[in-house]
Amino acid sequence: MTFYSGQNGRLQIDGTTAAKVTNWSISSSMSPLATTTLEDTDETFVNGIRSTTGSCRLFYYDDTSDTERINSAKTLIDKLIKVRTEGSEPGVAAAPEDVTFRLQVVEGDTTREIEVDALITSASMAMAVGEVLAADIAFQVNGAPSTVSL
Amino acid sequence: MTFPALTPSSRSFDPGNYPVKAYNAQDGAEIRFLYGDKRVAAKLQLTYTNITDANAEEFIDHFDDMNGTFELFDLPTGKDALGGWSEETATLDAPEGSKWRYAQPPQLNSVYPGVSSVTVNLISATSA
Repeated sequence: MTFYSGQNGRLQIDGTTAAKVTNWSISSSMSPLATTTLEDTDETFVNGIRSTTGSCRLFYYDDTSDTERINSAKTLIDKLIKVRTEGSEPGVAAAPEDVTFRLQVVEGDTTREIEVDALITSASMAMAVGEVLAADIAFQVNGAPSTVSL
Repeated sequence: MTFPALTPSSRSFDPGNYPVKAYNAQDGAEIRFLYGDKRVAAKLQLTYTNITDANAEEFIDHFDDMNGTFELFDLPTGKDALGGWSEETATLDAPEGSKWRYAQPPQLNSVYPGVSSVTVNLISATSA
């Protein structure tokens, strides 16, 4: 019997392994459609629309000597936060970018994963005394996962 | 083709009224004339939530068979359309001597692949 913990976790962003990820989570839900009619005494349902959201937290980390370990927090923040297209036009900037996440559980040569195309819905950072700077990212999965091999 | 034999998710019934005409005199007095002995213009709204597309299609087909709002028809015997009502079905049915017709086309909303909701508005009428 095998249990998994944080050391088995890995996150890939657009095919590249993210650096300094402290956690990731994914949650899928479904809104049932009520089919209860006037003669029923108990509610009945059929399957409805699914929705999947997720989040991750990454330390803001920069090591230019390691080409494999880029600043992944910056990568995700840059997908949502865009500078003005022109300095004189405060209301115009580039559109946010989609991202492909692979949320993985790694054990030796075996990798279990969920691959999703997602839209970054929030990216936040907070600097505080006594804490390492990190980015909290939330995302909305666009459609069904393209890979599920858990 | 008969009206689809399905039990609705919700139902609203307006029993209509007797054909009464009221007149007001200048001194405020009201005079009423009763022009008939049966209720007219009863209304029945049936909502079928999250039914299959095949069942939803039956309402459109029946609407076509009735030539839209033109033909009169009876609800199926049994309690399908009037299911959940524990008293006499005649209470919620078209008044004596009249039948139902569509007051307006059925409203069909697609809510999910293969699943739709339909609202049907009926009004009672008597053939001339």
